[in-house]
Amino acid sequence: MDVELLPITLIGVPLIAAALVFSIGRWSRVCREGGAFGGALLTVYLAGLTVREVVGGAGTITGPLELRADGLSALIVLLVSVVSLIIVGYSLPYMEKQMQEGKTTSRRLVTYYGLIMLFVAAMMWVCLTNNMIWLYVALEATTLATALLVCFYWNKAGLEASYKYVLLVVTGLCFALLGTVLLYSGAAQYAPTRPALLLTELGRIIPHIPPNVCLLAVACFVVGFGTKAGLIPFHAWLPDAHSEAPAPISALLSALVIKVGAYALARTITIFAPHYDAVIVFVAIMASASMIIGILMAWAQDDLKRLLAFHSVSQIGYVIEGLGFGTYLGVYGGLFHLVNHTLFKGLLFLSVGAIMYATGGLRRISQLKGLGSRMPITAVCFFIGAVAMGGLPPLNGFMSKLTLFVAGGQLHLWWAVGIGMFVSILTLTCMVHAGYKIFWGHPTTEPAGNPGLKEVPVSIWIGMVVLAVLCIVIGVYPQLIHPLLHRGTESILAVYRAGAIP
Amino acid sequence: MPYSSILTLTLGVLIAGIAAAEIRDLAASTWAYLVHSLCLAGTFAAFAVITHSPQLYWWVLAAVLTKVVFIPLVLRWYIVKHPATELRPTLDYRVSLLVVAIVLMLFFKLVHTHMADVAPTEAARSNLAVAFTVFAVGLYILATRRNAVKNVIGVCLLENGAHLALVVLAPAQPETALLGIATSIVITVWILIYITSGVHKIIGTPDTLKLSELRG
Repeated sequence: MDVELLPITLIGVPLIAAALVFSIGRWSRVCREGGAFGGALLTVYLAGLTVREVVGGAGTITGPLELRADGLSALIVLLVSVVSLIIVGYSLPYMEKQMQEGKTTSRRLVTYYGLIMLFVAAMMWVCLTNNMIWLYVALEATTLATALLVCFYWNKAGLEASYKYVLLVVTGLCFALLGTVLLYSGAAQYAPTRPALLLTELGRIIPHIPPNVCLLAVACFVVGFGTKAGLIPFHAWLPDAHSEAPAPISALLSALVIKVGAYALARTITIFAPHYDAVIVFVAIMASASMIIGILMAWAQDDLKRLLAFHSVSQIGYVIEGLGFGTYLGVYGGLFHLVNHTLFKGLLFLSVGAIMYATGGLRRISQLKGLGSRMPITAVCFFIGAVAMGGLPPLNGFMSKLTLFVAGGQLHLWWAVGIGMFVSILTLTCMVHAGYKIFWGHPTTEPAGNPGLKEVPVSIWIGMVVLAVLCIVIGVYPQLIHPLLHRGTESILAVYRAGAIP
Repeated sequence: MPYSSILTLTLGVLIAGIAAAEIRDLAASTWAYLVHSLCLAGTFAAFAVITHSPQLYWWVLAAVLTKVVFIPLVLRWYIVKHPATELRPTLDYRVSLLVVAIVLMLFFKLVHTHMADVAPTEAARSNLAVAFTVFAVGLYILATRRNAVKNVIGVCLLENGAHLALVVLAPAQPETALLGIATSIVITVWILIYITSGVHKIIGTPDTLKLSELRG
């Protein structure tokens, strides 16, 4: 296949899969679930091709319609495709059981798989577009595709969560549009013939934009993309949406949806950082606040999914902080933590889904006890995710956090490093505490009158095991993804180097 | 086209926008929103004429189709089926008018002092100030109103403010980008109204304060 067509095929394949599921999905299970799974599988293959091309070959792929794949795009594309494949695979038995329990119907499952594939297409589009206006539109598309998945059960709590989610994220993204417009107006004078504002040209344009307009634009981006990323204080939608969605969708939201916000921030604010020291400190303060408040809120939760959701608020702080540093090591650490958070948070949400699957929907820590002996695989997966998030060596979370702390030290932002370490310890204790309560001890009473409680079937735990193995492998042998991370970091830094040379 | 006609249209955008925010009868509020959108489309057309940018006529077409026709239709579909008067807002309308007036003055000052070189003409500057004010009115609705439909109108005002700023500051957008922006707002409104009617069916009121099972 022609390399130039790779980006458009990456968007096209999940889109066609979605169209297929929506049109013929109600005929049979194969059309519905096979269509989604096949589409996701093909997307992984195409993502692999893109990565090979970017890392091994030219470095960037420029396609039609202002699509462009560089190191950062390739990294996120690979991450999105692999995690969405695991989530679709996990959904097959999980949603089947939900249907048997009468919580959903086969007609609604058509919408479920169709929307997941639409979402994957929108994610690909976010990562591959080079046009700022299209970036905004694609981000809206990811929100809208997941909105109806959050209220999939159509109950009071789900509808409330979904309403909040759409209202807040759309409002936030409006700010991002305003920021884009401001930037555009500054750029239009400098390059009036350009029909569109390209991300790759931002660095060249920024020095010509008046500083006050530029700072206003940065503030708009932080509010806009920060809302999508779930940064404090724009996080109000996140715990609700994460906890009320079906378990696979919670994993999708936490592992992927909030990452596009971080991706958009990586593409925009990092470019400003070298010009404005104030931006670095501003972003570091926001990120530290996110870490601290997120972890404090997480400690107060009894609902496992809400607990994990608040950990997401806390962990996204690390990602944003690294990206805001604007140095090689900072951006590298931010991207590294982004990848790792996707892996271990996906793993944790899927493990909680497995607990809900086995116990018939229980998800409060106080209701669960002594599951470890009955569900050993889930227990091990949960602990690997918990310890990885807590930043204990030799798991992946330790490597990325260490990189971030070194990067912070290089900038002499010792207070930020201190807060990061402190929050990391709190995260570890919080997760181990929760895991201990759920899995340890003797089940004095049978959990929820469910004497036949047993380990989830292999079709469910296989996805979790894959993620757990990835967490360990990347922790022990980080060189595995170093080429991709290096390319991703370089593609961000290249843009602002273009701006540094007048 | 003279400056005064643009100013008249802009004033229409502002006043109809505030009316859409403040009128408690939802059907009337939707009409006010329709007038607001018509004025907005008119402003786009006026800018198309004075800046000689033919792409802007696509903006006019998209604005008429989405903001004047489709969104009011969706809102109307909901209002016909459900009680049409907004619940008592948390703040009185006189407070709102005062806030809006102060915000407008602040934005005029900001645009004329700090952003003068971004918006070179007087028409652009006053439109930009109005765009920011409409944006702020949208935010204000979201912050103070309890009715779900009113909040949807708030989101629409927010988007309209951003779109007006886009047309004023960056008129040379390709038609495809415009298509995406116009489609996204239409789907947003549809999804929000769809969810709201679901909420209404289950808990019997579109009062967002009753949506308190979950806490952020």
